[in-house]
Amino acid sequence: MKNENGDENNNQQTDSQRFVPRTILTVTNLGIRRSERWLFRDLNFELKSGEVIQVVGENGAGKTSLLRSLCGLLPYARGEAKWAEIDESECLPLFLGHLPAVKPELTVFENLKFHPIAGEFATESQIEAAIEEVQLGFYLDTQARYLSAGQVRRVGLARLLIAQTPCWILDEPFTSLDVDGCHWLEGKIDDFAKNGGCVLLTSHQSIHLPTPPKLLELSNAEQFTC
Amino acid sequence: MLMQLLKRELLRHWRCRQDLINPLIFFVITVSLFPLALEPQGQLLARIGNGIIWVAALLAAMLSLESMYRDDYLDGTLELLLLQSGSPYQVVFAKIISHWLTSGLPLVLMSPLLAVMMQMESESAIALILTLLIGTPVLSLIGSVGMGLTVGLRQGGVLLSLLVLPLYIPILIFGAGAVSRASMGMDYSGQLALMGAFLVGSLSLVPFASVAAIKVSIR
Amino acid sequence: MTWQWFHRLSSPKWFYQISGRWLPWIMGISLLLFSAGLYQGLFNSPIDYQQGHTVRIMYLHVPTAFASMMFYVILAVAAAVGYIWRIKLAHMAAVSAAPVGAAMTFLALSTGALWGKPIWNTWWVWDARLTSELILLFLYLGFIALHQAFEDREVGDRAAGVLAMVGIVNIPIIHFSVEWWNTLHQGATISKFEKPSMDPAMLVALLLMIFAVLLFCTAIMMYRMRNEVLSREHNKSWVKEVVGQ
Repeated sequence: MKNENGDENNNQQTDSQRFVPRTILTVTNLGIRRSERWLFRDLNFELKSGEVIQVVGENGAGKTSLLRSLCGLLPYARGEAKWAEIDESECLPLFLGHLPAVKPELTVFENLKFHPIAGEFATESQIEAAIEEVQLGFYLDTQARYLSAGQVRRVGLARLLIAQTPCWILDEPFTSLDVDGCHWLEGKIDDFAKNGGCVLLTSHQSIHLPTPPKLLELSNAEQFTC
Repeated sequence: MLMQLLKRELLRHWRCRQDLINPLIFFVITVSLFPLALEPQGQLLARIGNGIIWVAALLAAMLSLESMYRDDYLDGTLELLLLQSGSPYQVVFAKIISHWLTSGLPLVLMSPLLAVMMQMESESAIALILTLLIGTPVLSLIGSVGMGLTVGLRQGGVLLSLLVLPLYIPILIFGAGAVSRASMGMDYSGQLALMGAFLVGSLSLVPFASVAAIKVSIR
Repeated sequence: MTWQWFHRLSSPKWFYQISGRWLPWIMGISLLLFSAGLYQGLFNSPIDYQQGHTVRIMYLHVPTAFASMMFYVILAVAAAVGYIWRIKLAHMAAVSAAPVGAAMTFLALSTGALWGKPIWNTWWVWDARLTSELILLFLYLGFIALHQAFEDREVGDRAAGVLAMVGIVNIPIIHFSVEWWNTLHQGATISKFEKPSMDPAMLVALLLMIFAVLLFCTAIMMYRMRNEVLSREHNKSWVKEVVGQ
């Protein structure tokens, strides 16, 4: 099932419990400000391979801002977020935002084919297999504009299957998925973690995994002043 | 990687051909309004045709800038592209090249027709095509900075014209100037050379400004 | 050592305190220079043998035009410093310089039009300098509009900063192309400044006025910056103390 892995990674990933645990991301004293307001000022956590961390907090607590700044989309105001060195065989941490990033005028296949991570790492048959797996095989050559919101979300998530990366960063990945889809995604996250990947995600619903995810609580109760 | 991005852009544009044709129709309509507003005399039209066609080309190029980053910004593709394509400069370059291929080049191809409508001599028509050929890439390049700055704004369209049009002025002056020199039978290679210099200059500087602008916009 | 100094300079609080001490002096000197310059310009300088008393518009036109260009440079440098080193105070300076520069550009344009009416018998002439000023006004307005379009002021700072840097690279190119365009189309027009020599009394008046306008603009910019500091740092304790008094 994990046929999309490259040769170099095979040993590490199929040998389920015996991957070498390593720290992928270290966050120290991280603080983010938006519109002259601190969302949080002293965030410390580590993300190790095999871990799933769910970021929880009220609306506006800074969950999305945290994920975006860890990816480098949003500069942080203080502290440090350090990624472990990533092998050349793998690509960067895969970030999927709360928008599906699927182009309506491209077909399902093209959407994955022209995604930058796919261009170098995945073959056409791997892409087709990924589309089969998210149950969109029938729509392979359909333009994404004819799909429903849930199906579009599935196209976006199919990228998880073709990326070879040690880390997934997912912002509200369960949005507009049906019950089956949610189960499928939970299963994927579990598999990925068991094989040495690490996942950092936000979600409003609780996630049912065999080993429950660690919770990282952001609270915006405090209004900071400096 | 650049080819991959470029292919994706062109495919996208090909799927929405209608959006590409609209600026072209705008270009032709704007130019054909002038003879209606003025007198349709050959002498007058030939004398001011260069300016009219160049201004219309400027406006049409600006109208089509929207297609550069806006859609990708709205559905979240832009941030994915910047994060995962290795170099944001490649993304910007692919966008600029595809914008020129899909909006600048059609303007150039359309210009002989308009030159005929404006009763221009063949000398000036050739000059018009040459200046547009060198000038429209500069329009795409400078436009990408303006579009990058306004992509995240709701009322971005009007603001875009306020930001970009003043920066288009040198190209307008030399483009239209070269054509009018050609119509007087004078040598215009100096103007072409200067426009070429603008092209090289903006090719080397614009990517930095564009990437900086987009990075600000997608926060 | 030097960096410490740099950071102290870039602290909004430090700026607020020091500017409070300097501002009365700057404003006072500027008013003194204004009165001296206006007296020199209006009563103590000769009339032009062609233009008569009209030439006195120069004492307002030239200084405002000079200030309009200088403040764009100040704006762009401040924006670049703010963008590169992420210094908030520099962004505040850029944002405060923009309306002042735009106002000066507008004044230079309107005094130019007033001057043009008796000399060229028309309010507006597509003279190279006036056209460049007009484009400069567009650049200022673009900067202000872009900055205001962002809800988050810090994002607006950075976006407008990029625009200012692009603008400052383009200004020489725009100026040069306008000059070329102007010589192509109206080479015969005699420029109003190309006089072989200027009467020393006129020169003194002009210099006095230039310094007066520059100091005045600086003072206005500092007032604006102080406002900017207070409104951006409004939840800091020192601001609460200052405002609470």
